[in-house]
Amino acid sequence: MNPISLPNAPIVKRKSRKLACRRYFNLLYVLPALALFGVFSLFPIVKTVQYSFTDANGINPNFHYVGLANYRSALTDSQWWQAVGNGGVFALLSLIFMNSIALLLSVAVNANIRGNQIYRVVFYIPPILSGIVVGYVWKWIYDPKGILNAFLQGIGLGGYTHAWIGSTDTALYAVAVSSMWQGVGGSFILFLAGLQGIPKEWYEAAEIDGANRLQKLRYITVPSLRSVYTMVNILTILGALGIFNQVYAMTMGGPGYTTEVPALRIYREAFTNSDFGMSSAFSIVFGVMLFILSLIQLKLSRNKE
Amino acid sequence: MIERRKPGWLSLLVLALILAIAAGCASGQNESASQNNGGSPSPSDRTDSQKKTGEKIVFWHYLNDRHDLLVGMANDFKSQTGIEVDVQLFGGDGFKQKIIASAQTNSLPDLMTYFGGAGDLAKLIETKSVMELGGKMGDTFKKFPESVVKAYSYREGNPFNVKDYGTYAVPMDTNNMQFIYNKDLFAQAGITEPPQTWEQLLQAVDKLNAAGITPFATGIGSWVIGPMAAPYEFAYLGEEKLIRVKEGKEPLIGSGYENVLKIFEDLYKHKAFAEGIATMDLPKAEQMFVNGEVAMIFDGSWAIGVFNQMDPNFQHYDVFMPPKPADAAHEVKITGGIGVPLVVSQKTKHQDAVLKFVDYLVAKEQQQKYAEKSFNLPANMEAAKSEGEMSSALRNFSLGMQHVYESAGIYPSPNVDTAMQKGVQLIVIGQSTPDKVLKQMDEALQKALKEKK
Repeated sequence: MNPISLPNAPIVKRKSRKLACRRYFNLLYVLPALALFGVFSLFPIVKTVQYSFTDANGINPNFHYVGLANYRSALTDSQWWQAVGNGGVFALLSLIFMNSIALLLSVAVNANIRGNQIYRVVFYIPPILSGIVVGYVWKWIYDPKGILNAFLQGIGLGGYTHAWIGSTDTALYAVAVSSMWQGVGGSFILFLAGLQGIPKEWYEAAEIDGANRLQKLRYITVPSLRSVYTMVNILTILGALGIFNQVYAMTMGGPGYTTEVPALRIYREAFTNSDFGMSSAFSIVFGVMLFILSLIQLKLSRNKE
Repeated sequence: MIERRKPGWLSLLVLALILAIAAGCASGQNESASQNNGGSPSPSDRTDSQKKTGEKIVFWHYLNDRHDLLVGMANDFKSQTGIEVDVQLFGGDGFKQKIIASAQTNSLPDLMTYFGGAGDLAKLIETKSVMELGGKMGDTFKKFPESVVKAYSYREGNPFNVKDYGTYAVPMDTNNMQFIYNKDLFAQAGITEPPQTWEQLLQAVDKLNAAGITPFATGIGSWVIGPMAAPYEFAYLGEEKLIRVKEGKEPLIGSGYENVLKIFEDLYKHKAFAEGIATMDLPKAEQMFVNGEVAMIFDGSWAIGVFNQMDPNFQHYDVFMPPKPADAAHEVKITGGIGVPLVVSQKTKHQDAVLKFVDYLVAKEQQQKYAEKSFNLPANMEAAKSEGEMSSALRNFSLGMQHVYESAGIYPSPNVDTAMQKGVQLIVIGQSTPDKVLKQMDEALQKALKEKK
């Protein structure tokens, strides 16, 4: 036993007890955040899982458990898979076109071109607009007598005028364009943040070594943005698959099931068909699919690193 | 030395906040409602009401075009009774969802205009969220046509399995859906009379096309397909068979339902539709009609008010019943009934006041004023009969009330209706056929019947 420690032992013990008490007491500060998380995030998830096994109609608190019937019905529903396929098309188009445009814009703005501060603001305006408003604006643009057809006629391409969202050939792509127009600003900001994190010295060193613009882009910019790509891609896939507002405002999934997307189907089951059980089952299936997709994307990017 | 901190006032604040939230979540139950004797506010009632200073009821509605009118009526009601009515407008498509969410959380307003069919209201009855009014307002219901009252009445054997029989909504106005045509454009195409038969309608379409006029538009992209198909469901199948087919007691394929879908194909083949019809909503079609871009629209009687709002000078139009096809064996019946149903919350603490206000809204004077200002058909028969200066279109809509069906039956799952709507959206652009759509509807019906078993 250390004789020096003897007279101090009770004091140390008391101090450590006080510290422990204070530590536990400090946990109370986290309680409001925990309560909010529990009420607004955890509880709805738990209830969604619960409802997915029931025939709940959204109003009556008395419902019956139906086992896996809703899941069986969801997984064998051809329209659901068509909606997922449409979501996949949105995701693919966004990954290819939207993110490429966003990357090019961010590289251009990061290159200190004149007015880059203004561009930064302008490119970020669409993401802060309401999706419904964007949907209605584009619906007006695509109208048979709208601005797009008027423009085509004005430049002598009257033969290409079209009922853009009223035709099965173009409706899906027309909605995708409006969605990408709104989403490009989000990817742009993330890419720009990633670009600004690359040390300038690397470019200076490359210049000394005689690297041209393309080489700098290929050997410095692109590899340095790998983690940003992963995040942008995950967000793009989740956003594109979860698209709702534009489809709701522009086509309601039509013509037929041409622009039907998972979120619209979930909404229709809940609020048109009053089948919250089925709607919850679709939500869970969809949530699991998105979770798996995100995991795969993360895993792939880690393997590359 | 360990620094001794001041007492944790912040912690106390956090605790107080948590307790406040907990207390808020556990708010007390509603008080039991008092009984009401119904009828209009009598002088003695007024005195009683005026004594209850500060009595206030909350009224939710979705009628963008009638908000000022309702606020004005609420103010008049307050000056007569002393009861304040807080008229709150929630326009747009989200009104139904708002009602559902409020019912889930027991926070429905005292009074609301209901948005949805009898099946939707049945769910609120099941949870005892809304009040049975037949027993409390018997005299009031005598003011309305019987068929209108029946729209939200649930009797033994009702298809919605409502066990608490009764009447749950008071009609503020009535409506029905028919074809509306532009007289000038018809004259321009050399059409002198509105079509009486389906064949005449197709001839009119051809004449309009020949004159370079787009014949027809409606909200094919939204909910209008069902009401537009309904007259032909009755015409081809007849009421009894239609109900049996929808319930799955008779097969859908071979029932004659394909003829119903063929009317949309006929219109497509005769190039009747405006461009972009497959995803067109009703407001867009209404705008085109008012602008003179299309000659006909399938719309409800409320459209008269909408047209007036869009262009008060646009008056040269009239109404005709959905024309019957020559090969249809039964009478055409149209969609209609209560335009705006008034529904009372079961949990209201101001039952007397709410029922007085409902009575006030459907009294003859208010109904006349309502019809005059909003261009909607009054539900009160006395008010409807006393309409002297009714336009031809409004009169034809009024006459249409005689042809409104009581029940068109319901499929065991709304997915069958969805299959039809989605299918028709493709038929009208030549991307599908009645046979294909009928098969898809049958698949949805068989699936629903299997799940029901």
